[in-house]
Amino acid sequence: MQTYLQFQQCMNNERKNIDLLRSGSHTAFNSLYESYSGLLYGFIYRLTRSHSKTKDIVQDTFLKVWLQREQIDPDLSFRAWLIKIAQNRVVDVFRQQWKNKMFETYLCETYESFISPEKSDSQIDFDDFLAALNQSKKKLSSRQKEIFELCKEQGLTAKETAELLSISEQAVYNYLSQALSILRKELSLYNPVFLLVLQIMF
Amino acid sequence: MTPFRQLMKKYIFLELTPFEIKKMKNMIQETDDESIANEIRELWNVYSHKLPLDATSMESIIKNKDPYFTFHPHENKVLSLLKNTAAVLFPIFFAFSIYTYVNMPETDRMPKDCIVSVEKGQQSTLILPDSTRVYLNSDSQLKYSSDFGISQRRIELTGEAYFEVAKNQEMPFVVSASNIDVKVLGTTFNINMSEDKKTIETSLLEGSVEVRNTITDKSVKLIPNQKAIYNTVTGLMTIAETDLIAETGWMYKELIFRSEPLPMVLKAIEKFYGCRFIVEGNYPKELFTGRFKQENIQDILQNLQEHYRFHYHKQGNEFTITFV
Repeated sequence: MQTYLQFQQCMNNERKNIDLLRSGSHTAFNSLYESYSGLLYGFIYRLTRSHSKTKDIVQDTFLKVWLQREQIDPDLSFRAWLIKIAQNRVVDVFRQQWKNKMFETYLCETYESFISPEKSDSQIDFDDFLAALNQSKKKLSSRQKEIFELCKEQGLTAKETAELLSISEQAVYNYLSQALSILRKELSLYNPVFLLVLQIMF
Repeated sequence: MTPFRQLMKKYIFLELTPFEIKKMKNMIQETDDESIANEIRELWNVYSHKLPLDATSMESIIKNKDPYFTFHPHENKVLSLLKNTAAVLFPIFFAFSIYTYVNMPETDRMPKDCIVSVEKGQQSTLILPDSTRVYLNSDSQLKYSSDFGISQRRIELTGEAYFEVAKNQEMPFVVSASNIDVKVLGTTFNINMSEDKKTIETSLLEGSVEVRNTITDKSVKLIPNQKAIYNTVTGLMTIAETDLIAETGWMYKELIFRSEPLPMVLKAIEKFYGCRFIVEGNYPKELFTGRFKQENIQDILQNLQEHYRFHYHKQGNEFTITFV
């Protein structure tokens, strides 16, 4: 009963805030922002795995909330309205991330780091992962880098790579394993978690 | 639960195995946007309460990653949000916006015309005599006569502008753009004339507006989140739904600084343009206020040189800045 009453009170408060927001109240906006921004951020981050993109979407969403405040239907929940505003951009970014060939590699990493529970909170996002990878790639020779990019980033098979560069398939494997062992070493300097990933992935 | 939903759920809880990751990738390719949006809404309804980021960690993540655009959970949210993203409520005069007030040839009885124009790459804010706020985008021009707000509220626009019209039931506010008139009482809307002047878009954020073709005298009424697209060649007017982000995006997709210390300004520029600054000498203490559209870095640096004394030297994407 106690919790039900609290719930009722919450709903009434929210209802009041939405009415106030519709009439342009900053305080009401603040209070809704306070209640929902963390929720929205946490949720969108898990879908996009990028802090910068999540931040942009959350900011844009609340900006739209403010600009479109008069169209809020006070009978619908604010929650439902919020995700409706955010959803198109979330879908776009979500797709875009999954299109990136390295995203798979990155996801395997977060999966592995999740196994050791204390790391799940301080996750490296996809942007950081790519940045660390790019830094590490500087340590490769141009041939090693070329072959790593063709095989791992563009997703060509060893055979296709061999044909493209007119070298033997074995040579591709050799270059790739050299490249990977260098990357593994470099990446582990950025974050010990990566060491694990690359062993599993490659 | 459908297989896709199951995968989505595992994905947001970081539970996808490498095998499932491959499977999910394929499924995403086969799923249309609408279905993905549905899944996202479902997940939001059911699980979002399990994933919130508390204010402190949100703040620390954002701070670490991005020194300029920060949320301040304890500050006024409207202020910080809008300060960072939109110039809707807190416009900042861009110090280098160029205003040219040109007086038309005077005759004794005719009221004078005021012209405000903004050059390419600049933006400007102005408040009209009736306290209507206008944000003028680059390469745009606004013309109104000196009796504006006294006997009439009529302005002519070329280019793009965002209006927050002060309410005045007695005196309608009319914007003429080419041969359309947009008539309002008090509302917020955006008008954009395309570069080649072939189309004029009127997008409505709040209130209501009437868009009238002055040649045919036909008019349409817009409700919020609609835009009227007028083709000046064919004379046709169409109405489309819009989320307004694209239409108003020009107002906030830019770097905005308000009394910021110079190191913060440079960091934000580094982030925005992906360049690197190496600083020699001591940072000047003076704070910087201004805003940058997507100009090139050299332009920005030259701009900053008008405020601060420094030399700079470019090497690839690295700039060595020496304060004198």
